[in-house]
Amino acid sequence: MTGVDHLDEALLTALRDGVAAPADESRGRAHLDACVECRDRLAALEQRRTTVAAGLASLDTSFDLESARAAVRAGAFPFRKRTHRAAWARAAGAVLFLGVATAAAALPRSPVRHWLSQIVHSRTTAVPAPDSQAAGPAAAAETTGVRLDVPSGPLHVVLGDVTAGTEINVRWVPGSEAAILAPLGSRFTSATGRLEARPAPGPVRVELPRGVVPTTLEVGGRVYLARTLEGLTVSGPVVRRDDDGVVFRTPDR
Amino acid sequence: MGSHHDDHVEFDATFDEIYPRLVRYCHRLTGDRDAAEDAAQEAMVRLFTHAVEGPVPALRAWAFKTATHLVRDRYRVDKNRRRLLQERPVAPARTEDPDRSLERREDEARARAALEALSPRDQEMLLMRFEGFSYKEIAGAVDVASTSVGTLLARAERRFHQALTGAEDEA
Repeated sequence: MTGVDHLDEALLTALRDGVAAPADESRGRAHLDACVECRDRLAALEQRRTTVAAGLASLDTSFDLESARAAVRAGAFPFRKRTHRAAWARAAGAVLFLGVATAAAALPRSPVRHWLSQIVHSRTTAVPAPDSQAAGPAAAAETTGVRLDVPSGPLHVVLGDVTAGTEINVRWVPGSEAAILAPLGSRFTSATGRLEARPAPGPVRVELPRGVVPTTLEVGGRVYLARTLEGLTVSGPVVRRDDDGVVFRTPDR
Repeated sequence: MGSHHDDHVEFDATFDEIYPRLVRYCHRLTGDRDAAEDAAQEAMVRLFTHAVEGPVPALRAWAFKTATHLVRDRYRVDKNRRRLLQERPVAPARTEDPDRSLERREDEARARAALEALSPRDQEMLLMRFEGFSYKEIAGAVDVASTSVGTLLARAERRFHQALTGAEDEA
């Protein structure tokens, strides 16, 4: 290989990442059209990017984002603490509002009662999904869940302490939002690129953004599914599989 | 009251857009949860107290540059503390099997060693690139000429990959 004839590593890397200057992009693409060796090197750089991304992701851990949010807010706006007088006024207002609302809700056919029931219902009913029929009983059960925006991989979804015989319905979804939906009583945590749940007994639905790679689903310490640039590897106990996802059932112990 | 509500919403939106990636970057850079959180939170506080304005990408670049300098100046973790952290990691208890846990820690140690094989500046550049920053933004954050970023980044990535995998890259 001579440096004069072939594209250098920096330009190939820039082409791979789509950040080459327009003139370099044109020159580079024209060269790639004619040069098998540089195309092979570009393919190797693609693979290298995946390996490097996975290596960096192995350094990651989870953080308590809500504590950080409170700390940053307190540090950024130290003079916005409420005065005692204002706090008392708010507390009195809240008590008054609750009193009126409770009285109104106690009345039959009260619009407040209807409004409250709608709020409670909306928080505990499964999020409707296009394939809710395919999800079977999971869609009808009362569920709760957690969602996470994942503009790029890696994404790790971890289900721990899963009851034997649990149906796990994995769906590929458009956009960049991953989610775990599970029966009420489930516990969830999330961090950058990571969603975890300890689901209560019952069906679980996992939504994975179709375009995010690498993505892994780990259930009880075992990888059920891994999706990389090279493709999809399914190694969990499959019940059924289609273009929109995979349904697993954890083995009976 | 309305303006406080708006401020609150804007604060949350900005925080959500920037902080999770910023603390991940700081943690990758330092290998220390406490140092990462301190640096990331201080950069965020400065972002708000300095009333930095602009679109989210510009705010994000500002916060990353500030955090990078904070890590350089105050939070760079020395090797003794790093070794201590690896021996006694401060992480939430996991309910995974011991084999998997061991494998995860080995992967982490390998990646940490590969990253430390790079100069601090190359570490910053590589990590910022894998957070999606442009060459221009990286140049601004790590104080190098933007025309040099491509070459430096390609070399940093190759060295990290070689150290991580033991492979001899040809590119």
